[in-house]
Amino acid sequence: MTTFLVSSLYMFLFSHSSFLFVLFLTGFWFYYLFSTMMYSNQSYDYLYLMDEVSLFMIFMTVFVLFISYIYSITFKSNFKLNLVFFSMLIFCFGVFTTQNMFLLYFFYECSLLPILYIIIKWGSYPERSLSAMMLLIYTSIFTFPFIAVMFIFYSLNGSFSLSLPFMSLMSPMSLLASLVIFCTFAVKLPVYGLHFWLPMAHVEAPTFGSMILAGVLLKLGGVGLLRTISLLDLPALSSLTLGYFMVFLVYVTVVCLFQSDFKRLVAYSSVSHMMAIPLLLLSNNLMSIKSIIMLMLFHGLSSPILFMLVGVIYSMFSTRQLVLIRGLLLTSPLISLMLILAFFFTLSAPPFPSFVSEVYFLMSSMGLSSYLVYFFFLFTFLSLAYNLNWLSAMVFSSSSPSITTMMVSYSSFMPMITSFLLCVPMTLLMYLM
Amino acid sequence: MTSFYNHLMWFTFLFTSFCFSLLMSFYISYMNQALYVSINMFSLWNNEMSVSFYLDYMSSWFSTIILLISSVIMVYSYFYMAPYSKSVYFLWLTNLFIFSMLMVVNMSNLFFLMLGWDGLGLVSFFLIVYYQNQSSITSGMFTLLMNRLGDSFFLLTIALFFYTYPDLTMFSSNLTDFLSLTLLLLTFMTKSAIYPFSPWLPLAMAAPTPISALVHSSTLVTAGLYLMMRFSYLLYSSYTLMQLLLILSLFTSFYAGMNSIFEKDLKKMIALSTLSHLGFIGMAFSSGLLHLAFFHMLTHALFKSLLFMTMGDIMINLNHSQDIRYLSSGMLYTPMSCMVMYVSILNLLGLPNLSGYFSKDLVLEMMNYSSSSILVMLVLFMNVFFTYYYTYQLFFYSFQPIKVLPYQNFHSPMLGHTLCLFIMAISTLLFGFFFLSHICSLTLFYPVPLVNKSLPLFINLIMFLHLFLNTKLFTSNSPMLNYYFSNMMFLSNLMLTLSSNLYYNLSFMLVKSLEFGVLNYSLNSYPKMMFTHLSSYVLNLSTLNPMKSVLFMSSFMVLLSVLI
Amino acid sequence: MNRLALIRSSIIFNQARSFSSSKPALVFAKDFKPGPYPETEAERRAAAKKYGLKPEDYQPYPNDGFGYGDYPNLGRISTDMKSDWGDYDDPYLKRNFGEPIVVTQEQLTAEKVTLRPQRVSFSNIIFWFLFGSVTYIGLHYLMWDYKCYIPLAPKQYPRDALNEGEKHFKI
Repeated sequence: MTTFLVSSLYMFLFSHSSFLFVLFLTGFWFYYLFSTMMYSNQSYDYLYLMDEVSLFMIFMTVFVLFISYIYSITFKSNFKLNLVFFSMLIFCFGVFTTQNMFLLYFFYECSLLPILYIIIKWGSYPERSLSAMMLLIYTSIFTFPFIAVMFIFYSLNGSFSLSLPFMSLMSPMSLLASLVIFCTFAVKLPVYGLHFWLPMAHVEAPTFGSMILAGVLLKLGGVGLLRTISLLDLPALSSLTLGYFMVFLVYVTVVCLFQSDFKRLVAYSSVSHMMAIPLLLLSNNLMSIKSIIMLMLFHGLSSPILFMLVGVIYSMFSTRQLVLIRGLLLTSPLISLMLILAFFFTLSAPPFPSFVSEVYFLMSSMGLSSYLVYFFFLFTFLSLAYNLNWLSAMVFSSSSPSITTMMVSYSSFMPMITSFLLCVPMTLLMYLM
Repeated sequence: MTSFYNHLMWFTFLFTSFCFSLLMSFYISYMNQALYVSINMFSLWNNEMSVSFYLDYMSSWFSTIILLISSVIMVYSYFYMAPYSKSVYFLWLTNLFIFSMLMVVNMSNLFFLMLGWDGLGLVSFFLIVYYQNQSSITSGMFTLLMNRLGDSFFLLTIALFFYTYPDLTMFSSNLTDFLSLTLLLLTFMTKSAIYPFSPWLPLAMAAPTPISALVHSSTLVTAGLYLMMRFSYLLYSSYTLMQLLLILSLFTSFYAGMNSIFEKDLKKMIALSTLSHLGFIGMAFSSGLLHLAFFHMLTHALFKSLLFMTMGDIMINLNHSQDIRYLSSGMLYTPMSCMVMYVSILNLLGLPNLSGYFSKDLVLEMMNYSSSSILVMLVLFMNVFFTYYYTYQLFFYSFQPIKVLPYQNFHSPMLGHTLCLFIMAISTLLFGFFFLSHICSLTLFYPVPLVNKSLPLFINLIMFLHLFLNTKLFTSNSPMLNYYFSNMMFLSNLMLTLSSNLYYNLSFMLVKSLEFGVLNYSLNSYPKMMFTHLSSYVLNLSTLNPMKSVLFMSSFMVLLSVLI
Repeated sequence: MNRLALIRSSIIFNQARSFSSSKPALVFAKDFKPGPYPETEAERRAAAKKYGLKPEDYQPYPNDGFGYGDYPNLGRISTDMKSDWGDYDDPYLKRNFGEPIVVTQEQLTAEKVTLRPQRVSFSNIIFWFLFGSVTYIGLHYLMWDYKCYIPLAPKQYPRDALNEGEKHFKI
């Protein structure tokens, strides 16, 4: 493992071409598949967890990084880009596969660095420093108390290992500690209320940056929650926060209705998707845990595609205002077809596998409270309403001659088509679950 | 010419599947069999999700009818959609629509039923906004939102079904949870436009006419009623729900009939007649006449699609004018289309020995024995009166001597087009007798008193005599009354205004006060402020004499080490 | 040659339409950016001139923390409330060049909301709707027990001949 990593790092650092990077990615993927097959009978490697969470998350990471790398080919600074992508891959791999609490926290915090660099280096507006600062402040304020929890955990257990056979402490931690753990990972999810850094970061980040941000970074929090679920005092936590989550699950969709900026809308829609995860976490049963994985996987596939479409549309219209983008069905039928497919995917409409995750979310968290029925009704209804908002405004509205559009070169269609084609085998993963 | 081949290809495909389906349904209904095919798609963790098709006489006959209508529409739309050069787009969407309807008809697992159910709603949106003008987008959005209401009910139903009893097929009969039954009924009511959910149905007229012929006859609106019949074992278990459904569907039928009296838009009038028939079928279902309701649904699908198609033929020669007062010129110049239209109208009226008669009169007669209240019977016969009224209105206007609008650009349809409509008309004429005498063997025959038997015919006769001897329509001179009844007793006004107001005022207030207000201030500007304070502090430190700061730091370190 | 002249004439026509009367107030996106809230009368006049409005028409949002600086409050005017037959520069938003737009314009397009005043007031609509449906449904529930009864002969079973005392019907 280590020799492979070192040799690939060597190969990578001394060859600045993108082709080798892609080769490296695929090699990494195949190595991972191979080692998964090797260890499929036993649950643990010596350091790496090889369960379904890590498997699907790694698949998703490779997918997202691959398509965002293709999208970012137009940027000239190749070496820095490669460095960022490589570090992103390493850190996400670390978070998704480790069973060590310290390493989990370490990689979780480290993953902030590349995205900060992306925002500051490749963002295009002067407000990007503020949004980067907000990202830093939010994550640091809510994650530093985790160190104290880590100390407590170590002093009680004698090790940082999170896997059950090594844990002497089977009972959950106190309410304060579980709140701290929850907030640590919920700020990256993000749960509504801790989400203000997300739209700012998305608006300022370049397209490939927001693809990574929505595709991979949001899942780090979810995976962290899944890893530490046995430490959380779930009954106390649910009595404290269930009402909040129920109300704000619906409220985020209402907020999504009132976005005028397309990219901001997509960012908020990912918040509304992620609001399902704390609810699923609180209703801690077998189905809900699987549903979390599926939700994260399919959100990780759909939202980068949507962000990529935002980027392409921005390069056509040089605006992201929903009022000004219109009549896409006449001007470019291909993009509008992709928008419609992405609409189905984010809406979790039936032919797409995200529907399964939605239904399983509803099924498995129904047991939490009987009032959830009404909130789920509003949630599923409004999630169509805000998605229909952008679709009808952009695709099906009548275009007017005063709107100027740039032609999009065929090269920019490549990442879109690649991502859609890659999505198909990814969605077949559902059968493995 | 490519569009011709596209249409031909889809027609061949649909027609062969129609023939296959016809043979299948003959086999199933004559052998008294039901086929249940269940394929285990994936075992998701602790429960298996199997795609299950249930083919009994209901589903096979219904899919046969759907395939017949849709294969005729493939021919029809070649003529009708010729000016719009998007034949591939149109045909793919239409066939997706038909395919999702067939899935709704044939599947039995709730989870996979959602595939067709959601597909119907979403694809119908794309078809309604086909013309891409402002009004079609508005009505498409409204239709989709109403259908999405049904979808959310459906999702909740799936979740509740699973929560109470983890079997999602329609055969899971040990379920008496009132909430999930209510949600199930509400789901089906949204699709088939029963009382609170009906305003989308006239709005869906913005679609091209072939699509309206599909939507309003056999596909979208009857999906809800059909699934009601499918899940009748569950729904009949609750008396209160069936009572509610009876009242609401009668009400739907009532205001739709009332509305269609005041309507002068051809397509909208036929849409409203569809609505009144939906109410009629829903009423028949809720009072226990399951198989008769199904029979009427089939005959209604046949004659209503025929009516829409002929109406499109007439309309295309009137420059797409939908005013009913121009209909008289249609009679003169396209006699064939008008003849076919009369066939479907007479079916709709229920003239004896036509197919509408067999289904509708049987329902009316059986309602006498269903021990329903006096008011129900009264409203039912009022609805029958309305039906006669608006159909005779079509007759009346088509025989007017004044030719208001002369033909400007005459489109002569192909021979195949006319032939298809003709064959369709003949099958419509014969279907009722055939189905009643050969297939629908579950119907019991009652001896009926002469008064009850002749009551509908009597109303019919009165209407006929009044219109053609008096040559005058009933009208109301009060504009407010006209306005009240031509907007479904303000239901459509209320829905549109309320949704706009809720959307704009209430949710904007919510968003502005919390997301842009309190939370923004407390969570967003406070860290910003802190950041500026901190950075200014660091800046001050850096502008100090470097030696001073080193001294300060070292003294601090010494202090720290002493303390520890 | 002919085509070029046509294009040029169309450009001139458009320019004449948009620039003829006076210089439009809001041309570029930066012109829409609101300034601070106008306190004095002179500032109000300046702000009104900036947005191309008459001083008596100009009315900013209240400065209570939720406002938009000196941007004018144009009211809740949705696109469908404007006339359908005007010759607009932008027929979709029904807006002329250089005209200030409502703050929440993207929510007020015609396909999203229909706020056009109806022939009957909203309260009347609610009242008559509720009146109609409640009367109808209530009457049905009240009249439910008064059955429309058609006399039927008692049901006869073949086994009735065997056991005499058993009855399967009541009158």
